[in-house]
Amino acid sequence: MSVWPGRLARAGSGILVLGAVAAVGAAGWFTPVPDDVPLAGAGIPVPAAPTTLVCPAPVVLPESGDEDDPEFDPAPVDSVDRIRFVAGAGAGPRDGESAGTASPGSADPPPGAVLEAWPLDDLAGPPVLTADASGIVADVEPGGGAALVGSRVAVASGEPTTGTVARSQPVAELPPRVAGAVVSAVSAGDLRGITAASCQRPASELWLVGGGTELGTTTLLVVHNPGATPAEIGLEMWGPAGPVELGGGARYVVPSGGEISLRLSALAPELASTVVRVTSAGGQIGAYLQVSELDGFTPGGVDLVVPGLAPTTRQVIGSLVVPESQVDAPGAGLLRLLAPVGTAGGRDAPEGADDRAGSQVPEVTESAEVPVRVSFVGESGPVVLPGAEEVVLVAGEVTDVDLGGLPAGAYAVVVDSEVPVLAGARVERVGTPAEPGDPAPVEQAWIAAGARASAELIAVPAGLAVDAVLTAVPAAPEPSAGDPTGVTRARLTAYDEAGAVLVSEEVTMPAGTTLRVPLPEGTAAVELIPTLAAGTAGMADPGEPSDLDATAESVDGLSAGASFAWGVLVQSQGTDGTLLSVLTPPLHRAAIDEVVVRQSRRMPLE
Amino acid sequence: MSSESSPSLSLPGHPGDATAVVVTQGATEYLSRTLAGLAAQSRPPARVLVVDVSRDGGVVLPPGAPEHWRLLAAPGARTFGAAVREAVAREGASGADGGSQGSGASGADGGHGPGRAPASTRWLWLLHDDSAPEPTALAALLRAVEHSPSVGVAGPKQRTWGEPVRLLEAGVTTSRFGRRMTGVDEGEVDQGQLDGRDDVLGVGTVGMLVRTDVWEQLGGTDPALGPYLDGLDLSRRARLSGHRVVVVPNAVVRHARASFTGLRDGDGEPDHRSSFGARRQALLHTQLAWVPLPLVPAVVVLALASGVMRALWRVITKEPVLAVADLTAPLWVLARPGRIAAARRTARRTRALPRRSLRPLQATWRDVYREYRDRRMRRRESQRVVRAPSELELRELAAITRRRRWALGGLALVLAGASWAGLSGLVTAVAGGARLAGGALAPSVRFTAWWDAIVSGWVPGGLGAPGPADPLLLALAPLAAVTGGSAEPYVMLGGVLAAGVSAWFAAGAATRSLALRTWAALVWAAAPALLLAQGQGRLGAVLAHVMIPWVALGIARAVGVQRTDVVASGMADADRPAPSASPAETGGSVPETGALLADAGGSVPETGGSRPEVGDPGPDAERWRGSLGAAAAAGLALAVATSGAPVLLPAGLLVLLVIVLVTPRRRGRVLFVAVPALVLHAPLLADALGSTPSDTSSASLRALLGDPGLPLASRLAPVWQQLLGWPVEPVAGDSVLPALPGQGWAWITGGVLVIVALAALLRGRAVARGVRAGWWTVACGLLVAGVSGRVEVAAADGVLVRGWGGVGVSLAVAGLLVAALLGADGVRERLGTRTFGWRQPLVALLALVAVAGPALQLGAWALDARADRPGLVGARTVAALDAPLVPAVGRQAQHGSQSARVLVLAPDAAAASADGGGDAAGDAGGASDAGAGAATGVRWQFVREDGPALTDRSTVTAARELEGGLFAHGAQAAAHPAPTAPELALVDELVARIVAGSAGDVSDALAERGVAIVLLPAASAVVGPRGTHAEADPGRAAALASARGRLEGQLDATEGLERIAANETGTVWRVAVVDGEDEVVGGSAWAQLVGADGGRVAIDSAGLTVDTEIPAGAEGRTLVLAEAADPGWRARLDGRTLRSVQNDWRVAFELPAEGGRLEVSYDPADRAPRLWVQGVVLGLTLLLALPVRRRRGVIQ
Repeated sequence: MSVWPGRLARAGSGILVLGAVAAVGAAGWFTPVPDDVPLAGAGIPVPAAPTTLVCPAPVVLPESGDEDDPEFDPAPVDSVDRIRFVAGAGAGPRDGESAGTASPGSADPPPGAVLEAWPLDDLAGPPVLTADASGIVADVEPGGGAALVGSRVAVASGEPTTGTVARSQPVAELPPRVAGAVVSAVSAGDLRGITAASCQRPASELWLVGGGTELGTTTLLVVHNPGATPAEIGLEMWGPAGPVELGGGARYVVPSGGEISLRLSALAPELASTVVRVTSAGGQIGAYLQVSELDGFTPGGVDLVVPGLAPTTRQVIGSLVVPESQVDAPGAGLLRLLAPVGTAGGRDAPEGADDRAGSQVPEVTESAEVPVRVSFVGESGPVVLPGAEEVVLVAGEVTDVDLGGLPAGAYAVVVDSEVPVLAGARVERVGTPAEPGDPAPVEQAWIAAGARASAELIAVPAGLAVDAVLTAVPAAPEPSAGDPTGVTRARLTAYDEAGAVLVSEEVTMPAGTTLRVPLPEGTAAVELIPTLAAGTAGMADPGEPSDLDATAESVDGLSAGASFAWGVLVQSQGTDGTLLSVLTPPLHRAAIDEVVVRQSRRMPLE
Repeated sequence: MSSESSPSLSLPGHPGDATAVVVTQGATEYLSRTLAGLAAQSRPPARVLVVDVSRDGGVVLPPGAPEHWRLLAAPGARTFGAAVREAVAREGASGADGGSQGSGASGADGGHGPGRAPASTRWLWLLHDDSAPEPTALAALLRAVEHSPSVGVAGPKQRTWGEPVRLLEAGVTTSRFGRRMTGVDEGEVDQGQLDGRDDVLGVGTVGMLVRTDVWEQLGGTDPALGPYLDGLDLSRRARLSGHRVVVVPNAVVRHARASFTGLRDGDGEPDHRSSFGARRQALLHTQLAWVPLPLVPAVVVLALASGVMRALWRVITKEPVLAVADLTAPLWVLARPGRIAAARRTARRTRALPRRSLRPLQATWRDVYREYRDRRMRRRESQRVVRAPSELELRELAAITRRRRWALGGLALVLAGASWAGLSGLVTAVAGGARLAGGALAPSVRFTAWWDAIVSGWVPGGLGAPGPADPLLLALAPLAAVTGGSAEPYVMLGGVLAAGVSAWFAAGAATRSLALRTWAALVWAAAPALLLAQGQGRLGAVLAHVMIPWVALGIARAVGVQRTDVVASGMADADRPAPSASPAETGGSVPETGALLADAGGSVPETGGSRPEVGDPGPDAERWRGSLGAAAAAGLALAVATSGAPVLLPAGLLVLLVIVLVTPRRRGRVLFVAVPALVLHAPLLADALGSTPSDTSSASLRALLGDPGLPLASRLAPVWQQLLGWPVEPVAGDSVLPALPGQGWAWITGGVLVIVALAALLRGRAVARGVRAGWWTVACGLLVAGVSGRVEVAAADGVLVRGWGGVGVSLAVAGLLVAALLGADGVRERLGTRTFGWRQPLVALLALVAVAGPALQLGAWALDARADRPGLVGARTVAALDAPLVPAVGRQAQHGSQSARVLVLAPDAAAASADGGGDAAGDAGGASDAGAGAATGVRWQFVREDGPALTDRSTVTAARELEGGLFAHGAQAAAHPAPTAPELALVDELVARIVAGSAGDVSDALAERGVAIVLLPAASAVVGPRGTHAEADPGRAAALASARGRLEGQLDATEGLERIAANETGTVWRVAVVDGEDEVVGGSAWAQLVGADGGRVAIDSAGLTVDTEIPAGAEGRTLVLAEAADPGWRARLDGRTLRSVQNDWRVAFELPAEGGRLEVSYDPADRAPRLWVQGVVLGLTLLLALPVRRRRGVIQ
């Protein structure tokens, strides 16, 4: 039949094309699509930038709007104002690097840093203070680790009258080891107390957790602009009832080398507790709050609130040294918490309630409940403060947690939350009344939440008793009591005014413990250098979560699953009680040693 | 013949005093009839010379020819005139030898006996082999001239050779321009309308009676002419030498015009086009020979120019053969100037009267116009007469057309409605002036930048790199030109509608069933490959999806296998056996009218298989020729489609090769379809094929697999999902459709399609080839989808990007549709012939599911898009940008004479999220702010337009960023990023230092790179869906915001940057270039003069070119451009080429001290040839594709 050749041809060609499809399909089926290739940006090591420090001005008596009582002098004694700068010779080991990289056997130790300081109002003039460590020969301990390279410092002291700006150029392309601190001590009057603060690095966003505007409490916001360009600052405030509507725009221009000082009560009166956010455009600034309290005519304490960590899901406040106290009794101290809205997202919103995030988060979380876990790390391990393990915050409302009932001792507070929160703490000392029956004078010290410690130097002004308070903060958010996850180790060094080492000891601490180290008299500077690479805040390898456990080194069979939070408690025993303040390492490290840069090939900010 | 004509030879007659010369080329089929006509003359010629110019000499005189008939062989004669000349010379000489008669030329006394040939006659009667004189022709001619001694040349009236008898010409004249005019229309009936003619300008050589002495005097015909215009030329010269030229309408010659109509070629088809070139050359020759000498140069120029213009027009009218003739004819003529000179010399020698004496005989412009008009009217009329269908047929056709239009309109309405429902937000925003961006889509740019990118061969992204622009730019250039640069919104937003409409038209080539066409259009418009591409901003993929049906339609029409609605009358049925033999088709039509609705072409089902195979030329062979214009259109469509997705080029070639194999004819045309696409991609292909097999060649192969647009990662779906139409896996997201297990909704459309296409393989001969071609296309589509989805083609922010598999999937779906449509065509009629059984319900169910699938898919897509739900195709990343990305001050710097760049810095999302992740993992104390890790992430971008532009990239430059093998081994990807180009690595470092605050004064470094403005986009300037990343990680948004704040502060504190504004666009800094105390004006200009002392002067530039006056200056100046060095840059000062010098990474030229006009451009050696070749090929294809009806049967 003549139809058969055609049919056969059709069948054959049909099988052929189907076979082609099947072959392609099989090839595709058996060849897996390779995994995506992540493309890391180029990590570019950059030389260190010059370091700038902004130091607070001496404490000032707030001008009261009330009629002055001629009979009563609010400041019967002048304040004693001291400033001290420290510059290290040589360079300490850098973060994340093995301590051995800066070889102690190196023929030429790196030159020392030079820190020059100017009064804020005369930035163009000659420097008034210079801490010059360049001529100091590094004092290397025989057989010592590289941690001790350049373990000498130069110290310069002075008496400031205004805010001070200090600058230091990088040394051998490494960030210089410099620090500064200001202290004002007033033995009597409204401002009785010690106000001390480390000099801060300027930044464009500052969070100040502390203060209040109730009757009797005076909070001054002081903003310094150390830069060469005018800075336009913006203020945001939170109170116990939520975010505060600031009248008058809440925007101010601070000229170069200028300072503005604002009474927060003029912006928002009658707030028992405040949190302030200062942002700046056009230049980086320094800012702090000066908080002073009066109970009638009895001084209620004075201190400076320095910027703390921006909202994060974990906040750590170190160096809380509290006396024995009762709940609701004076002198117990407090922990201030805030889950700000508008600056961070909230996860408590029902999933999928809205397809938007970011700018519309405030609507969702305005009054959402934010549970936070507060844990205290005491000298012998975690301590439970009844009622404070779980605190439920209302988003946007400032909440104070009374620390009464905490056993006496040194602590660090760790605040963990699902959403970014802010924390700050205040410790108090009740003095003895001048006359029996009078209210007792109180001294207070505000402590800001700090960053995980790296090699840091803290300058200590003269004439005060100095205790270093170190906490090994466990890495896990939920440290199970009694089961610390590891150890950490650091070298703590104290220098005297001549720059020589007073004390230097290797401190090894199990995670979840706090150590209070009294330092000898004459200590002018304290330096803590972690010697166990306790996990780098890994951005060098974005593919790896920077979980400490994952990157911890193993030393002596113990994993280094902790990091340090530390500070320096400065005290002075007055006639009517203890005066104290806490110096913390400055936030906002300017030292960036690597920038991950990539040429973008897509839309910006997509 | 001879038996009939022999008696006539013996008819007595008074012989005329004329020698008949018949020139023939061998024994042609016309010769016998011509000789018979000659023999039957009532007044026979005194002598007959039959001249055979062929070399084989097969001519024999008819038996019984009188002795005065001579057969001469003149194999050397090249033209008619030469043959006559040779015959007269030889015969005259032999006659003089042997004849007793005196050689008196005036011996017209009639004393010659019929058996004796006179040595010489007064007249020569010239005849071609294909011109048979009527019996009285010579008598009439002689009668006319005998009493008019002034007549030198007389010609007969010519009629057609065959039946019906038509008038050909009765004397000719010319226009003033030399154009030959007969005043007779093609096919005009001879009603004696021209019998009044007497004196004319010229007569043809057919039947021309020319006085022997005049012939001698004029030297015969022009040796350069013949067979065209030689008679006219001779007549004209006779006129100018003082002789009259008359036409004698009583004398009739039947003329076959065998040379003219190309009948001598042997294929038996009359085609006057084959002689067109020779005629054109003759015309140009006569024009050059006739005009006064001063005008010759003008005529030469005109001839060349008109040759080009005429050739272009021939291309438009799809007559490429004539186009070649038109183009080459002037060249041939001008190549032999000696012949023109000789002709002019001969004419001058014999000229006795001025040229203007011819004026009264020439046609006026009005005559020319009238003839043109008459011809047009006649053509139109004849077309109408030939094509006129009956009233019934007309009504039937109108009904079909009406139904078709309603269906198309409804379909368009549905698609437009769905598009509007899903995209109304974007449409209104775009109508309000917003731009589209996001995903792979870059926002539109000015058209000038668009055009520069196309022609320059320089890709301006980053610091610039050599490389061809994406062909997509060229393909969209017309649209961009019309819309001022914003072509992409139309493609992106109109994609669904355009795809559906194009599929509708293409489906019409496979079936005339409206239901099937609608189904195909819905499937195509709802194809996930299209919806995904549209949502992700893959401009090229959308364009390719829209164009693929047009390519298919064009190929079908080019080959001539498309189906058309044909109403065959009952009469016509008699010779259309196929439909009448098919009861299925007759049964379903309208029998009472006697008209039969049938598909013409390859639609004949196998039951009526009286046709041997598809494409067999049947009764409508005319249509089977296919269309060259359609081939050109298919070529253009393929070029556009491949420009959207270069990977379609290899796939298209594979498909075309198989189509060539299965196509019975017109294979060249099918191959031609690939030409425009190949030419468009020639730079890429040359790159890919010309390099050695190494990493560089893999880069150029990558370029062929890459997608134009911003890089956007995708992950290829398993191959069975691709076959069902899904290039990536459907998203198990929130949709209006209730969730089905296993993403059930996604597979309905593709499943039905595959089933029907598989069933189509069982259909018979009529559609077998088409179905197999369709399945082959499926294989090719899956192949390229699989390959491109596995090969890394570009580096995006954070991940290597593989090619988009959606284009291959589109191709596969197209192949399935072709097979399915061919298979499903006529199913209803076939079912009607079967008794009701399982088949009918099954088909009905399948039909229901088939329509419901795509309809549901499209509807769900529209509703999901409207509600911003991800749906099956995932969230849409394309968004409307209603604000500029670059603030006004930045655009001013970009587009002003500075041509500066804007440096866009942004915190790196990837690094920031790693930051946030660190926090979430419980890292004590927020490394992000403290920077305890001492690293931070930043992205930078140079923009020369309002945001990153489509023109900033090309698949070639993108592929260069990768190296390594093409294919992975196992799960490990083979490609890895190539080292950053040195000049860009410097930028990386500069940016890093700025971010770290350790850069010092950055103004010089930025100015060197032409950066005038630094922009930190506002957080609100986020492009794309804001839900996806931010919602997944609220901490990330906060981290980004805080990183942005830090970066802003750092930039504020950076020396050399002056903050000038902070608005919704972002924060803007100016690069303040300071020299000593003074700020340098235009310090960041793209082009600068650098003095030997380092002082800089800005130079005006426009985009990537400089054309300005520069003043004189000191010695040792250098011209530097803020562009990466490349040997292709050229600079000229007053026309002198400047020497290029090494200057770091930049383009630099040595400048002399004097000033002048400075021109700089990127002009590599291969640029001009590339543009010319591309322009000519694409331009000619475009002209070919213009829908102009071919003029058949019209004499040109």
